[in-house]
Amino acid sequence: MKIAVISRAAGAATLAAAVAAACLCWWAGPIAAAQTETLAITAIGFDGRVRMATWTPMWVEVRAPATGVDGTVTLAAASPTGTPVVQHTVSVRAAPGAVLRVFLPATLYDARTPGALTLTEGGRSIATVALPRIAPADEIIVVLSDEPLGLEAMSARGQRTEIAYVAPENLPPIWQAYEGVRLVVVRNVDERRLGDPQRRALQQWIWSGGRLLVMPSGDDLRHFLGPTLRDLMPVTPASSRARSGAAVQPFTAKPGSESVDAAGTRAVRWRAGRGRVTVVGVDLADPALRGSPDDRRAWDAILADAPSPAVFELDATLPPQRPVPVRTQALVGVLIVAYIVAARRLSRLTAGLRAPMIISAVVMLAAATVIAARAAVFARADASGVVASAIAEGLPGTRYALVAMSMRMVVSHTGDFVIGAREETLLRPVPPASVTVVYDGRTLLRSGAPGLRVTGLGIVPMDVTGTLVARDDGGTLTVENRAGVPIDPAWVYQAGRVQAVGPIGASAQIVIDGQRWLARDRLQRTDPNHALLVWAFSHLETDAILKSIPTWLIGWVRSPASSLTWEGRREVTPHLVLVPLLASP
Amino acid sequence: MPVTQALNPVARGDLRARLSTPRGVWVQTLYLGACSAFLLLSLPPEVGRFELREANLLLAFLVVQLVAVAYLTGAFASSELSLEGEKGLPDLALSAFGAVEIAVGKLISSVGYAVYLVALALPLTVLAAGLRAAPLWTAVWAAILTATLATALGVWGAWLGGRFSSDFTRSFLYWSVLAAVFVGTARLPAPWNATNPVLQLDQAVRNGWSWTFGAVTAVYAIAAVAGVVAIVSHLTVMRTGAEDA
Repeated sequence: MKIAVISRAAGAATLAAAVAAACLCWWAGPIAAAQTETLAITAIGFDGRVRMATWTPMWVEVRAPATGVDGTVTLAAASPTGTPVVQHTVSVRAAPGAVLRVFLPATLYDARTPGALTLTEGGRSIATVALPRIAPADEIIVVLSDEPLGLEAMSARGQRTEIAYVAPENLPPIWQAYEGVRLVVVRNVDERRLGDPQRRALQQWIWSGGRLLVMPSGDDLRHFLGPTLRDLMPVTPASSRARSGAAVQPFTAKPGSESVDAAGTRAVRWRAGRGRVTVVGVDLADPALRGSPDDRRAWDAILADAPSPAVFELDATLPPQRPVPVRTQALVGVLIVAYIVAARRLSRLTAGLRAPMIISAVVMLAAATVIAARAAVFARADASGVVASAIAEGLPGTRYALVAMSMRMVVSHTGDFVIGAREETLLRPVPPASVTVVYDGRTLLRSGAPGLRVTGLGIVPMDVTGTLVARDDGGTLTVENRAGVPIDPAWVYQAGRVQAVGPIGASAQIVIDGQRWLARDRLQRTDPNHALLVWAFSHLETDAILKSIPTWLIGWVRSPASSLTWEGRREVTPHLVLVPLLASP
Repeated sequence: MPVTQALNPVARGDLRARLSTPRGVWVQTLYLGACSAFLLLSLPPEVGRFELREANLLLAFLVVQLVAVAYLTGAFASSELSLEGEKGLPDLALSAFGAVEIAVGKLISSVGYAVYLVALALPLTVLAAGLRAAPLWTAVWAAILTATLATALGVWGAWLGGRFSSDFTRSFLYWSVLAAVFVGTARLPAPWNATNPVLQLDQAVRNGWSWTFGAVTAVYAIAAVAGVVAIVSHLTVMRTGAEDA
């Protein structure tokens, strides 16, 4: 779908309306035409379907003017009350006349007036396009198919579950933009219209808890073997061309997959990270099946299998305060004591009530005041920053982790500030606040909003693996840590009890003593964030996916690579890592 | 040569006693210590000492300063805190100075000492305001309010020192006045509760200058002038009574 100020594929009615508008506002015509040439919205959400207040993919077409362009595209998304306005910005650079297709992840809050898109260069606005009114959805089912699936009639659909038939090139290149999606259905896909970032995003979204359903397209199985799905599939087809005319296609199930029966339709599925990939052997878009009771029952069974994305409510674990560095407190203390001592001298100077003495006292007082003012600025800068809670949950079967961050701006000595996160982590103000989110390889967040709260989500490499050879009530723990930073301190968690295992370097082999288990509630307060550790225990016990894994390695990692930057200063936020431990016989 | 030779001799004597005597210097040191303690609490709220994170810590610092300056100025003037060399009204009534000269001297010594104490804590105030990123105007308004209130209390304290010879009565009345100013005014119905100095300080910290702030400060100044008139009347009555006797 392509949405622009004036559609290029306009019919007669649109043309007539455009002419009428041009007659009414003849003077505005050249401006509108120029804007149409310069900036157009290619796609909002998934075929126009948007779940409000979640990451939404947007594709924008920028046609560079005759002088070229080196600026930014900014989407100003207002909350339903009009303020605050969250701005999402991406840089654009193009030679004269070049046409760029730009991806912009955004969060929309108001369906009636979602916001406006502006192309600016050097602070000067070149073109502005208002986003059209959008139909909000609770959940979106994304379909890659050149035939309708008849999903619209399914009773298992929620009241506001929308079906979006999406062109491959409009799939988002970052997995966070699938946030409002419940299921992705792939019936056929033109691999030439997909890029590697889009493939990786789909894969990472599944890892993060997404659901993928794959089916044959008639007798065409080429997409099963294409680069997008090949590694995700729980089955291997006998060939890229299925048995012609066969109602059910034969597959070879991969180890770790399971056969399921979706209301009479045979399916094979497996877990990929937190998510699940299901393959059905029949083409549910087959006109002979579409709308039949069997087809409906199969869809109902498939849609009843709800996704289980991780829920990270980390706000309650945020440290209440940000400690002022000891050196700053010491400096202030020393200055105060020095001044009190000096003030006694000041008293003697003024006691004589003589002009030179009084002048000396005034000079001394002025000098002390200036020093105090400088010290205040220094101390405030040192104390500025955010408090953050960060957790990295190892995704089973991958060498990646799902990282969730929650942070709160404590104080900013300059008013406006910039927070930066590593490339894979996307930051968003929650609740919406007057900030600018810069999506430029890595996320920057510019704001002056006091008390700003931000959440971040990303999938990052985490090359830590572990196995536990069980023996009696303990066993031998073997950990390979190729992350480059130690895990310190660390614990083994098993069914509501914990055991400290000490720091873990590049590799470790630790004997778990069956007598040293401690109920996790009885664990003494720990550093650096005990509240987050307790939250993690609870997360492991309640999360639908994680509680199926009995033993975990938990520990703190201080990795500069995954830290935040605050006003250019690197803030090493300790991450609590959760590593699933494989049981070894 | 002292530039203050032209200064009122009563004020000069009082200020010398308050600024240079060992006891006076120790009082200043204690005053700075109290302000410093609250300054350390005024470090950015992340310090979280005493669960004061959410409170306006600059206001806490300024309130401590206000109360300390007001108390000390009045206490010295009323002789609740006695200093070697400082003459109370009973002594001065017997001197050759005129009643007006004595009253104005007490006014000047109160103004001078209040301003001196505020100025002495200026680096601490600037540090506190800077840490809280508050505008320096806040400190200026706070200083004006503090000095004016302290002057009024100083003048009326001097009057109390002359009017009541009993130490207990004098102290009791002085503390009653302090309670009335800092607590009693807060209990008054609106808009009269605006005369409460802590409330005005709070408004000044949050909103800066306001006409109400100006009016209340003027009321304190008028109270100080009224105190001067009371001292003159009292001295006149004392001297008339002494002559009659």
